[in-house]
Amino acid sequence: MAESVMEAMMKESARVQQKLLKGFENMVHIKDLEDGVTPREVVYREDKIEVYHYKPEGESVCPIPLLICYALVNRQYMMDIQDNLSLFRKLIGQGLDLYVIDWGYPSKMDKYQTMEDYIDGYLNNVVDFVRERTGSDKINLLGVCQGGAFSTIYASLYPEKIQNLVVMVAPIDLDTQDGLLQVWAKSFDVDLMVDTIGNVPGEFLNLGFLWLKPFQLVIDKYVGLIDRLDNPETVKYFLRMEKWIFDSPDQAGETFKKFVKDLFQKNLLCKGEFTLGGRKVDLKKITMPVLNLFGEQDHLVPPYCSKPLAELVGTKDVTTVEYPVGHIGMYVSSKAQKEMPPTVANWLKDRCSAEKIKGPGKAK
Amino acid sequence: MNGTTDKPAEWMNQWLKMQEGLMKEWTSSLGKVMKSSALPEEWMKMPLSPVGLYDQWSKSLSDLAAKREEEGVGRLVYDRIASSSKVYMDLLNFWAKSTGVFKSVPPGKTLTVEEINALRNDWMKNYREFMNTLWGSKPAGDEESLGKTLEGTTLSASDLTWSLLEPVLKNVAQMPDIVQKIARGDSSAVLDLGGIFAKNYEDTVGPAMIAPSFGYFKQLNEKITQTIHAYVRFNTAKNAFSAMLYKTGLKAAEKVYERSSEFVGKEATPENFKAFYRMWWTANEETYHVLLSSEEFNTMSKEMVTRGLLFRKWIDELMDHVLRFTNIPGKKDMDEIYKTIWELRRELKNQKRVIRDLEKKVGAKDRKKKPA
Repeated sequence: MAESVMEAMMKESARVQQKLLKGFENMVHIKDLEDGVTPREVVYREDKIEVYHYKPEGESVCPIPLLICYALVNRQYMMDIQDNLSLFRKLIGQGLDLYVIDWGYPSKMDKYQTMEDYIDGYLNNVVDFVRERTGSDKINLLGVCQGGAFSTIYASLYPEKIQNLVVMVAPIDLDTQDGLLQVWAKSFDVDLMVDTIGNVPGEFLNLGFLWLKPFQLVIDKYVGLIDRLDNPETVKYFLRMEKWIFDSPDQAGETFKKFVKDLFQKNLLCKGEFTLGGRKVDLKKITMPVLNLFGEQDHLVPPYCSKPLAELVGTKDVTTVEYPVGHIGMYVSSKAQKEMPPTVANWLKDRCSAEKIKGPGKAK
Repeated sequence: MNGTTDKPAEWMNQWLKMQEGLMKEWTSSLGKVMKSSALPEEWMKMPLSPVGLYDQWSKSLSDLAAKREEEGVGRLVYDRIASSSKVYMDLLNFWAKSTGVFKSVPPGKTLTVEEINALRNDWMKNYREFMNTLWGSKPAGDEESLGKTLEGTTLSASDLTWSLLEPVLKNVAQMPDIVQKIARGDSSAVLDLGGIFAKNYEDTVGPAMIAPSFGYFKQLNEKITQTIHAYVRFNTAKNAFSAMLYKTGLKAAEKVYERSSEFVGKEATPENFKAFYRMWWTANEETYHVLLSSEEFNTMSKEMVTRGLLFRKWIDELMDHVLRFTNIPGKKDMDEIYKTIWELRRELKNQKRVIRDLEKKVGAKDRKKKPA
């Protein structure tokens, strides 16, 4: 009997050692991985932000360019993580002319940057740049996660510049006691934090994300990989994901303060009481078509935070698409990879045809 | 893909040499066990049990990577995997011991209440040992760096704090009782100490620390004592937070113990261990999820973060005060600079926008003036 326990221990120990050794061989020499795989061109720079242009492949389906506004949390290359798992590549493959904002890494000097600087400043400048560069009076805007909230605010302030609004896993209605992140955000003293440390460290946010599922994300995720450590492709994919997860820029202090206080703690955007630069943000001014995409198993931005957008905007042309995936799955799951790009492309195509683009908005 | 792939030729030789050494030790250890027909528990205490050997092996591999100065995403992630594998292997060790505990009961024997309690106590004792190794394991990165962010420059302050607070501890009435508990191996008693210490501190030395000072060094003295006071409070909050997590770990242990009954009588195979591992982490996840959703967690985590920030605030105050006498800018000076840069940058952008709009208007007028 005793020997049997020993035998099992030895077998398991040997297996783990063997696999770890393979993993060691396969990963320890990899110093870095690229931030995105699809060829791109930097076409705009302002302070720390850059805008990339991805040329459409094949026949253009929509004459209006699409600008992606990612979150300030983590980086945009999650949507371009690997050749076979790139939403950017699939979107240009659908014939879309794609521009993407890379917000960069705020430094201590940026602690006073406000949400107004991001939305009225950078985002508005980028939109104008893309409009000018392409000759389109209006452009299509796709906001992701926190960038979805930013894009929604932008579209209600500058409806004359946006042809179609697409949002993906966007936190809009945050009046909930269910999501852990939403509950935690309500209780902490963001004023004290920003006044004391300035920018909010990316590590602090990451810690919050890890705490949502501590044993799964800190232990089992890695233990589960042991069996697959001898597969170099799996290892590379895992490394890419790890790089992205822990590549967390700090959050500009004042922007983070307003985002947490006004959206998470007071839910002002949803109540129609949110202001930016002294102007009230009225979501009813979003009269352009809206495509709202979210994951039904999302534990970071649960569906009930994204879904209510349809009721809040001033257009009847709202399409809501729910995918049976989580937050990260929205970017990398095979389901989302397969279905989302054609959904976005076809939806835009239907709303970009010449007769739908009225007056000065007509593409040149 | 721009992953660097420099693999020096000597690496494999170094590795083989190391494996050869380990294999010799393994064989000799195994030989001794076979000859002495040692019981698993006795073997487990030997340095070269499967888990002991694994630890040595893992350390050698890590040393080898350090020797080669491997740095970058690959090394970083490998370390995370190795750290989690260590928890996995420690659990394997615990599983082998607990299997031994259950197997010590002769089949078919009806146990008395005392025997059941003794069995449970043995199991819990082993689990607590495992928990200690789990809590001592290297975190996946962020917990560590956050700790550094909050604690920052606390180390030098701790000696001073201790010399100030030693009298408080000596007068703690409950101390003998706690010491007894600690001596019996109850790790949670160490954590209870934090709460009692905090109360005694607030009742005795605490008020003195924030009392107004006087004399030439008034401001400096006040800032120093306020900083120490903030540190003690942060440390207390941190300990209370850790105690809450540890106690939740013990609650999870109860759940794991209850669910362990599914494994009694099952053969000790790697597959059954894997099933045990799955049960273990999901039971923990469920238990911690209840904690994380609770008001208690909200209050305690808020308290810890707030205390950490206040401590940091006082360090900044103190540093600013000290730096006043030098040419080095303090936090307040830097904040002023950052704010001015931000304001200037904003102003510049506004002006650029105005100029661009004017240029557009002028351009439009010019176009109108030109004959068709």
